[in-house]
Amino acid sequence: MSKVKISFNLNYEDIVVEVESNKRLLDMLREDLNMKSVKEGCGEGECGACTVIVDGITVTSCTVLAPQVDGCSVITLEGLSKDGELDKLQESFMEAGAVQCGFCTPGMILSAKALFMKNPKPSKDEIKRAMSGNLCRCTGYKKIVEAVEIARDK
Amino acid sequence: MKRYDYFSPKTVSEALDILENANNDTHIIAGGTDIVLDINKGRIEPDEIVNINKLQELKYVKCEDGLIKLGSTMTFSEIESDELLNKKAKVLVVACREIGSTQIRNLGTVGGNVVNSSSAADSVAALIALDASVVLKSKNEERTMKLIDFYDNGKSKIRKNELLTEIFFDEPNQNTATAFTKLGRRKALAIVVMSMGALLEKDESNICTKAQFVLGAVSRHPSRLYEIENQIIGQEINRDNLYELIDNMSTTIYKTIVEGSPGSLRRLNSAKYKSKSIKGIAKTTFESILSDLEIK
Amino acid sequence: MKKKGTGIGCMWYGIGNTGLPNPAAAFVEVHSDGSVTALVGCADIGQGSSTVMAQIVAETLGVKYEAVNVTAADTGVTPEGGATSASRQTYISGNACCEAAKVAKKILVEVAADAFGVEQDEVEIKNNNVFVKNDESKQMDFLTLMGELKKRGKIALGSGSFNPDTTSLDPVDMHGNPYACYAFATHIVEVEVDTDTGQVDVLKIVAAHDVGQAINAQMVEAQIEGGCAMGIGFAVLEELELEKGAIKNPGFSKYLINTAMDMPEIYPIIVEDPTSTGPFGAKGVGEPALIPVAPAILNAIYDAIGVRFTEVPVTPRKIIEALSEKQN
Repeated sequence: MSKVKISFNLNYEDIVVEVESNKRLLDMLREDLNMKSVKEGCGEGECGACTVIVDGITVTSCTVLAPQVDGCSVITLEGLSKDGELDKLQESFMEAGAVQCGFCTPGMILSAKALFMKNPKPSKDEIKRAMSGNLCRCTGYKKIVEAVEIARDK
Repeated sequence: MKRYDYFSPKTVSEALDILENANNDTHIIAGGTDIVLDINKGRIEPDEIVNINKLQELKYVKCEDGLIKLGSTMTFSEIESDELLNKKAKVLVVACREIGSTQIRNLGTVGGNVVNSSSAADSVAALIALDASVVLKSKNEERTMKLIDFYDNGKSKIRKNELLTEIFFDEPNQNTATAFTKLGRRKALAIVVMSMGALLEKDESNICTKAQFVLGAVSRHPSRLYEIENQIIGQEINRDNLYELIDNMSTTIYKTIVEGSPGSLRRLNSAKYKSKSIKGIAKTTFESILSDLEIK
Repeated sequence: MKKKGTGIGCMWYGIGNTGLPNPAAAFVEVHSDGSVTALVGCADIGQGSSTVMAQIVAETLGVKYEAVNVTAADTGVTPEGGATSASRQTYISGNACCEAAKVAKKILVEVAADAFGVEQDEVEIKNNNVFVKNDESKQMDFLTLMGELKKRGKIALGSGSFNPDTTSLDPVDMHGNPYACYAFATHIVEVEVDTDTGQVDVLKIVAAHDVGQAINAQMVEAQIEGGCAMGIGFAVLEELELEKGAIKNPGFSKYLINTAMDMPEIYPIIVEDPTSTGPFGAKGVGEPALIPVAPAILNAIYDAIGVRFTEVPVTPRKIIEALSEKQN
């Protein structure tokens, strides 16, 4: 039984997948299901680049085994733009100049998205805390936090 | 990487049935933040993985028979936001709140933290300050032991066919305050440099009736400071008396680290630093307790 | 006990490769639908060079920024751009874009002058509008101008390249002219040192950078803010553990960089003292953003606790050691 059949909801669509038992959620999403927004930064859960939302909370997909999302809902950045229309977070990240090399961006946006799902009007400190598991080397975080504030106030 | 068999039991009873046939390469996964790394780095090569993340039976916090009981798959995020624990066990809430990052706290479980036996396990330090016990279940047996007795030089005493199902501790009364202070190298995603957990109980005249102090990341496992506890028990809880304990804590830390690895220059430097920086950690911890006990 | 301190760090930094030729080139074509293609070798690694090139081309031609499409770093079609390093691309590729756009513009102006029946130096193109100075009656929109080019069989096309005017350095006494322009900056930093635990909290950074001309102010701020983060890490957090040439801590769990919660308030100040040799006076900011941060922090630590550190990172351990020594 080293391949496992799992059914879960990916970006608002129910799917059934057969996946190797030793595959990480990151690899299943990125390679098997073509969700290229999910990126590997460190493989140790220490940088947040691979962050996705599972059952409404953020997780580092490099530390989750793919079969563990059986019966769950999973959201990647691809799930945020419905029919080509951008989520207000995606818009605000562009508006605030919060994207440089872009590697941390999917994880950052999903961390903010998950925060809004629990708390639609977070304070600056609450925003910083929610994003503190996502490392960025380019921006110094300032415009990222500003982008989340802009989205919050829209 | 070796392919392994994957099980995802829906009940504790099902899990225990599976574990009854466990061998040395059977491993349990809950949040996965430790074990997935172990697998990927080749530190372990499992034959079987048993996923306990779907066991709703292990997700609870309740007060029963004068005990506060936690199910072992409670995540750090869930502990952080639990009303009862926020009221009664600040030491555990603060410890869990400062672990890793939001993502790690969403995944990591208190049971996993306990069994993984890392010297950096913040929730373990807090639980030992609460003098907690663990419940280990197998198909035909149930064992309970104090968390402070659960470790043996780097390894936990859990058997291969056992599941850690519950952690419990005495419900602190309203004359008790607990606190936790963590020293890390940065404000998030910080592995502990040193931590301190404390529980102090007083009577109506502010005399200390119970003291439980723990240091994290000083010895291989979080350690109780029994001698220092005895110094304050029976004394009035006030700022002077508490601060007086700090010199002894400093000496204890220095001795513990140096004696733990004699001749190691790196450990000597660590001992020098930690025995000094405890001053700041202890002060913060004591101030929190004084404030909660409403002692000026 | 927590002790606050303030420190200043100043820097100057040469833009471009040191004492070596490092040219870049660009192609610009204006299409009949009014859009513009710019081909640059310059690789955008996230700093926003493609945006800057589009802005420079648009400003030079007199069209709206949205009209310009940049193709960058495609070795199949783009010319040499040199490396995205040495804080050089705005200055060098920017100049190349400027030159290329000027050549294309000359053709546009020639045709406009001919169509209006005026001298070329009376024609202006601004914001997709073509008009004659001092004669409001003579105006046309950009699309109309492109129609005029089509009638005459003209294509508005240009190429350009730029190499900073430098000399190599004398091998004996190092004299020479290694850079054609320099960026300058001053940072003022406020820190708080916990004398019990040795932790250094950077509270505030005010960062003033002379960038000549900020082609895109938001992106210049972004560079300054990113430089601050890296500078703080350099000063107090990032520790490379080397053993016989091997890095012992290559992972994020052991090589620590700042998280969002570790960042202070950053106040970037853009100073514009245009350089005569840069595109619209612009210089560079990529590396300058980092340079003054650590010195300012170390000066602030000295102000706070009277200890002068000359090695980084200044870890809590080192602070406690130094404070103990000072006491004895």
